[in-house]
Amino acid sequence: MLRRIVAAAASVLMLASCGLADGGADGPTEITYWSWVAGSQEIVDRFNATHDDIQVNFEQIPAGTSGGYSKMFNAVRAGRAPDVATVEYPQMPGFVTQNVIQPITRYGVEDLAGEYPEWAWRQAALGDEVYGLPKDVAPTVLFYRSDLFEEYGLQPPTTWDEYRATAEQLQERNPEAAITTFSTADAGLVSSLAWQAGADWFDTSTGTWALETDDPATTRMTEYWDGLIADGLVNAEPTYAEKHINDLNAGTSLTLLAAPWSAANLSRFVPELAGKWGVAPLPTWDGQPRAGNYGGSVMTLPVGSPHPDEAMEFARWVSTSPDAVEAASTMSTAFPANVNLADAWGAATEAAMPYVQGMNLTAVAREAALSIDPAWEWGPDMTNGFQRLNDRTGAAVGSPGGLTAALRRWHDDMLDEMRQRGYEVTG
Amino acid sequence: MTDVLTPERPAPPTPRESRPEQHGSAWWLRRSTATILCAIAAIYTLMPLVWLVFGVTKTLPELYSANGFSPSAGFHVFDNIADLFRQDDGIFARWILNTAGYALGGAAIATLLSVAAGYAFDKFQFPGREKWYAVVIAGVLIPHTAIVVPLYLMMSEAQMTDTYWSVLIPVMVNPFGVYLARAYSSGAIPDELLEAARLDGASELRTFFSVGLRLMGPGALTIFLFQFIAIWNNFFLPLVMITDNDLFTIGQGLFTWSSADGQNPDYTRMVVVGSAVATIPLILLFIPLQRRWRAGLTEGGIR
Amino acid sequence: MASITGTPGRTGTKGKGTAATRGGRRGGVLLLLGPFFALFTFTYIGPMLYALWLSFFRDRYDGIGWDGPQRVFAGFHNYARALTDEQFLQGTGRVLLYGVIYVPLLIALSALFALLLDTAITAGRRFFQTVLFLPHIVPGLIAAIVWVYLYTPGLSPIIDALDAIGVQADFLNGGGVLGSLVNIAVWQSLGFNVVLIYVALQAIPKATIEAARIDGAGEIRTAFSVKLPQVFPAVMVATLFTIIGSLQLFTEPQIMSASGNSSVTSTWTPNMLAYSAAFNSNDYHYAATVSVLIAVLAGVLSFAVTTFANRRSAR
Repeated sequence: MLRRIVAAAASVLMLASCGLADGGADGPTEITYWSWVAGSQEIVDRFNATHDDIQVNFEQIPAGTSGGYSKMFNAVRAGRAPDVATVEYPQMPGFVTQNVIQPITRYGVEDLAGEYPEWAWRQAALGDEVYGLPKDVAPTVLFYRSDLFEEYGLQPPTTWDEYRATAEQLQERNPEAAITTFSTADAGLVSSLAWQAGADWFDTSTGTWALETDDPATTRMTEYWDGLIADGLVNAEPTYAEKHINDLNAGTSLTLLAAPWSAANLSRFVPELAGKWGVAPLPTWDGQPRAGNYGGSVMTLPVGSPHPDEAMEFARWVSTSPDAVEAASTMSTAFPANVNLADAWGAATEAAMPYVQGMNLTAVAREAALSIDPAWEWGPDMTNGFQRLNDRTGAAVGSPGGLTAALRRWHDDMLDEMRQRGYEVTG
Repeated sequence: MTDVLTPERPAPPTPRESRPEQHGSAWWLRRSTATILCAIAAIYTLMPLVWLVFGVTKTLPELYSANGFSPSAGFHVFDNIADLFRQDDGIFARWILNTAGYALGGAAIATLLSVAAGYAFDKFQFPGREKWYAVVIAGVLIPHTAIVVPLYLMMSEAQMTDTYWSVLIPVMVNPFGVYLARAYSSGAIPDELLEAARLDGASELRTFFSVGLRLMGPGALTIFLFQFIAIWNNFFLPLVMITDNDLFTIGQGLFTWSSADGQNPDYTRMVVVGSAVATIPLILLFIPLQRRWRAGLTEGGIR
Repeated sequence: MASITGTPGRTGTKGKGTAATRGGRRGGVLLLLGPFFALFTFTYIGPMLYALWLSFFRDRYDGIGWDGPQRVFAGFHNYARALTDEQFLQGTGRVLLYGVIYVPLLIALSALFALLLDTAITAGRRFFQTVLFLPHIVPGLIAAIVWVYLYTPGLSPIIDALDAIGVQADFLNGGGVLGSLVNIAVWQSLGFNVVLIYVALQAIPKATIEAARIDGAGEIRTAFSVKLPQVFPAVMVATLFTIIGSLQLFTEPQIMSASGNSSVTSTWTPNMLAYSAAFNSNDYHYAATVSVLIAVLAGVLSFAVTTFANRRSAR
């Protein structure tokens, strides 16, 4: 009884406040945008400056897995969803099956499919509906210290075998130096490497969920890194932590398995190294160009979005307009999902962020974005899935079986988890 | 009895403390050992607070520079505080107001309800009284965090989450306050006074307000302070209930900033300064109130 | 007061009024108790019953699940799931281990400092009391944030100092984590519990202590054989609250986990698991189940402590 009274009182208050917020009928429609992606505020400012009928209120939320997604679940459940929000690719299937985001096929967005790499579109279009417009992508590339490579007489490797040989040569020339700092507790990186190797972890093609992590491609990748770690050729440590930053500054960690967004991180953490980085395609297994994806986000409409039409207009602008790409370039080096904007992105980013000048990032990233395998799929709860993957692979260093065994254990975790959650699972 | 009930226990030296003695070297040894032990505890207690106070004087690079227990080379307190209140359109001031609102409003109502309930448990005979009381005490023993997630699920079903009420209503209930209030009532309100008021024809509710509440004032203050601190310190409830930045508490806001420091390292400075701004005035405010609070505990019969 | 769960020893004379006033009294009771119980039902009893109800259902997806979940009756599925869930079992184990370290340590330290502050031999007692109490006013979250900074390499002067004398300390990973958490909790709660016991010590009749003195007992013997037994109930109350408090373990490990420099996972304690299930996985039935299990665990532990305390004081 009391609950009902309080609920009624609360809804009256809510109505009153909504009424105040919306203002008169002829003012611009105000919509709310939730994201933590760097440069969002700049994008919103630009949109608001160029649009009269829609004004966007940007709300910074914690990074998805550090609380942002909780906040979205929470808000959708409370009936107070924002109009539009960013979701990362791995979370898309979970957000769809759990009714957190809504289909946007009715807005005729299928015409836009050709603007994006096939894999990115397929990760936003699930089942028979489209659930979002890709905003940015994160094809894997290799950042390397061009100055030190020259000093040691090294060439950027094109295959993983060459990469190992380079690491060995480097240690002969400078025993203190390692070819890279490799964070095993980085689920996004580990899965992007499996993706690049040609693995296909999750599979929905049979109409039920399947998961495989001991396929030859994955195993080749994990055994390779287990070997590099065991032989002391790489520093197995968290990236961007103090030790890593010191190693970068001291020139004892020479490459970075990275994505375009890493450039902004480097400019922030090691500004002194401006002009000393080169970018090359990530080494591959067979010498054919092939990348994985390591980040990126999708513009989505949460269930209960109060102004879906206006939200959609904003989402479309963010995802397709060179203006949006340019606005974000002062804060972020995330690569546009819309590959047709790559050149605009390159020009804007080099102008706004001198750090990336001379890296050849645009061309390498564009090539890499188009070389990602479209068959890769994500599971139904990757927030938890990545967390568990971090736990498993983070503990893998130095333990018997290494990454290879960790992924097998993670496979069992996930199958059990999916069954417990009530998903239909085969194998 | 009256001695225990005096709100502020006078602290003149009691006989057992002030016996004139000849202090031998053994006495001095024990005295210095005891004092040094306390001093170590005091240094340990103050260390993080000192770090925090020095942190407020520093720029971001200085926070990461070598010595945490020394002030900044320059003096950046005013810049830092100004930046804090400018960050994200000055939302920090709003968080302070919210937290104060939750804590003051929640504690005031919780105190009134607890005192009324404790008084009723003490002064009235009614069927099942001890059973009802046992239910309340069971509430003391359930961990708050075990209640909050179910409470969230229930309130979200009624679409009540993410409102001021979703934080305020749960903190208006304090079973431990009822326990304290029952003890205060039994100690502080002579039944004869109630009888007198009743004979004058006052209604029960009026008697409560005119006699009960007045006599239980010091105890009520203790319950209020208890609950005020509990709400001010509560992180889990708002974290679960609130998603709207405008309704955040200080703690939640600082948590959001601290988890965003990967994108913007300057949030680390904002979190340090914000923590200090949220803490230090409260400490200064509470030092004079602390003795009164302790006296209230004595009356509550926790001994 | 012997124990918090017992019936209060002293109660006033109860209404012996006439029939006419009795009706007014009943109304009075309703008016005085009603608001409290209405809210108590809404915020305590309701959620527990609702959680119990939810814990007997689960989600079921058709095929891949693009059409969203249906709720189906699950019997004890969720309980079976929790009791075989490595994350839940490990989390419970961690919290119990944490409690086994934290509770005795805190209570012993609290008793020690309360006794020190109670004896005349300590100098500056008033000052120490105030200082030790300060952390109780610092919001738990801020305490956790500040301590995590003090544990973070680069920010922490403590790590630098240890480094200078050749000690490599890692407060945020591996076996050190539990100690780091215990430290934060002790720092937060020491002063409060010292005051709790100190207040009880102050209430011991002076004659009792004089008698011990006359028998020739020294400070230390008086403390252990006279004072401590007298404040046993207060110590038990402190213990009970500390145990319940340790089951709540959430804020500190959550901050560590969010700091990104720590091996603490987002499901490190049962509370974190419940939170994570509800808010990271949208798995409400499981979150409710874990909450019910935490409450049950708290009930069992509280029962054990009060039984122990009552038996002791009955002797």
